[in-house]
Amino acid sequence: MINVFRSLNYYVRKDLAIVIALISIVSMPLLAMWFMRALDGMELSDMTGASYFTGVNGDVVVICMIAVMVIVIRLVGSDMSDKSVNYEILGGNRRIKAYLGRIAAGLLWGTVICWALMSMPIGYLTLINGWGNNVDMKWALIRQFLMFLPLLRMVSLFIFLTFLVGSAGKGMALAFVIIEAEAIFDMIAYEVLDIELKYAFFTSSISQIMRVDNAKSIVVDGKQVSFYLAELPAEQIWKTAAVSLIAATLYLTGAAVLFIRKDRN
Amino acid sequence: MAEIIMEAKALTKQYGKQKALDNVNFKVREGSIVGLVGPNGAGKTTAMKVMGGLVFPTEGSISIYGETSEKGLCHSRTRMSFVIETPYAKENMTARENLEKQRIQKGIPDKKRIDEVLEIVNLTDTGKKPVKNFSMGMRQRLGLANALLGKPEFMVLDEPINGLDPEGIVEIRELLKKLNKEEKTTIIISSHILSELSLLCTDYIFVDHGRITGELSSEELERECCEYFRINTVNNEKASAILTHECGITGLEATEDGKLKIYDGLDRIEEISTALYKGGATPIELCRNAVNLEEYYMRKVQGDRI
Repeated sequence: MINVFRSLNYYVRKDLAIVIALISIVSMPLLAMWFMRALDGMELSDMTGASYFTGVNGDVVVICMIAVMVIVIRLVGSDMSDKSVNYEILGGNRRIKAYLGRIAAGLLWGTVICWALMSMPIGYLTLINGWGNNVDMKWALIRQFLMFLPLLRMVSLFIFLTFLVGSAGKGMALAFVIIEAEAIFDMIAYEVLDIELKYAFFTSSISQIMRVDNAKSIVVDGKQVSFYLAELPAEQIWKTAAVSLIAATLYLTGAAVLFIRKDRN
Repeated sequence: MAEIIMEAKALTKQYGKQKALDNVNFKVREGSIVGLVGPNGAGKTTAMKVMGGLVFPTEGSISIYGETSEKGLCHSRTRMSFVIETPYAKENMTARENLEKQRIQKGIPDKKRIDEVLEIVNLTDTGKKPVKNFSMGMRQRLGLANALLGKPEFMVLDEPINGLDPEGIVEIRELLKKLNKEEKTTIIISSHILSELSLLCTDYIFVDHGRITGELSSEELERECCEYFRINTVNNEKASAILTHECGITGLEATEDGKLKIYDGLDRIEEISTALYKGGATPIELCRNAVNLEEYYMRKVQGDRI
């Protein structure tokens, strides 16, 4: 298992699409901050952890879903179409161990590392300019950490889809369609039916957590600032966590069945 | 007698209504080079996939190095290497990077082994060229390099000389012979180039429609591959009648180019040629030949007798 995991980690460095996707996750916040400065006329010193979190973090996370999709699906599925994945089994790895090694690599890069990269701007802006006054740090961090779980659900779905279709290209196409379809359903439900789909889709789950738009105006040091109310109801926290974990478990179980029981042609 | 290291018992693999393998039984002796011979779709690759654990048999079992359980078979496969259908290759990586990924995956600590196998298969000068720009022959060599990486005791090679140039074919043949002789590596190999198999194999397994239609050693093949006379006369139609009715030849066959082959009466060739001459079918070509593996196979497939 560990050797499969290590060999996939080696592969990450060699796959141009994955490298570009990783770079885009790192550079996307910088681009978003540049836009934020240009549009709001902010000074560099006003770029705080809180202003980033309330200003662009949610949008950046949603845009980065595509990059996460590329990383995960390329990593766990690019060797399915060229059949080089078969050589893990031919090399004497038990299927369950090859599967676990593959899943471990997919989850490490798709959730842990991508989540860390997406959270990085909050960290470095806080270190440089402080936290700021736009949002309560505690609730912002709770939201940021909670986002890890729907991200895990999303990555698990991508893994399942890739194992289902047995090809990175087809997997990406299918995942893209699902992301778009979820976004459209979510929008229709909200705009037309006035229903907030908090848990039905991973996209809505993530945007519900990352979207903070309830603000009030407060005065700090003589300056008027928007203070966003980021508190989450306990029910939303545990339901998001539970639904994400259950869905991730189901997707990964499905992927395991496909990988372990199916003939590999 | 060499030890049996692999045995297939009543192996059956069914895809829908079609049986890719139908009650297949065979054994592989340690140190042998076994040629799997059969037409496309005969079941050769399926048999290899079952050995490699890629495909689950519908019925029957397989034993490798005495192991039959899933866990045991996986352990046995660490002593083996495979090239099945597509040689191992990641398109966007160089030959060295491909082998490095495989070295990590196989848990081989010695990094120098990559240089050794690249040299063995003659791929040292590919530098930063990605595999997507490799020729078919180069891909085959990379596949073989990957197969050699773990110093296997038992190799299963599906069409390993496909796409190689004549020089490459000779190199790979010599390499496999050397591995077999010096390292006592057991090899199962399938190829459509039967003349190559006959220069390499110690045993043959003939497969057709998912069944084993014959098994024989190279010594047995030599005995089976009897001699014949190829005859061309001024009138082969008349010659055919004379050979059958006057000379009593029963093993008579017409070749594609209209010539004749006789498999019996070889010690009466003077008498036969005189009969042909007198009957108005003057021989213009009379040549003694022996059946090779290719002809043996064709005759076997066509159901003719040798």
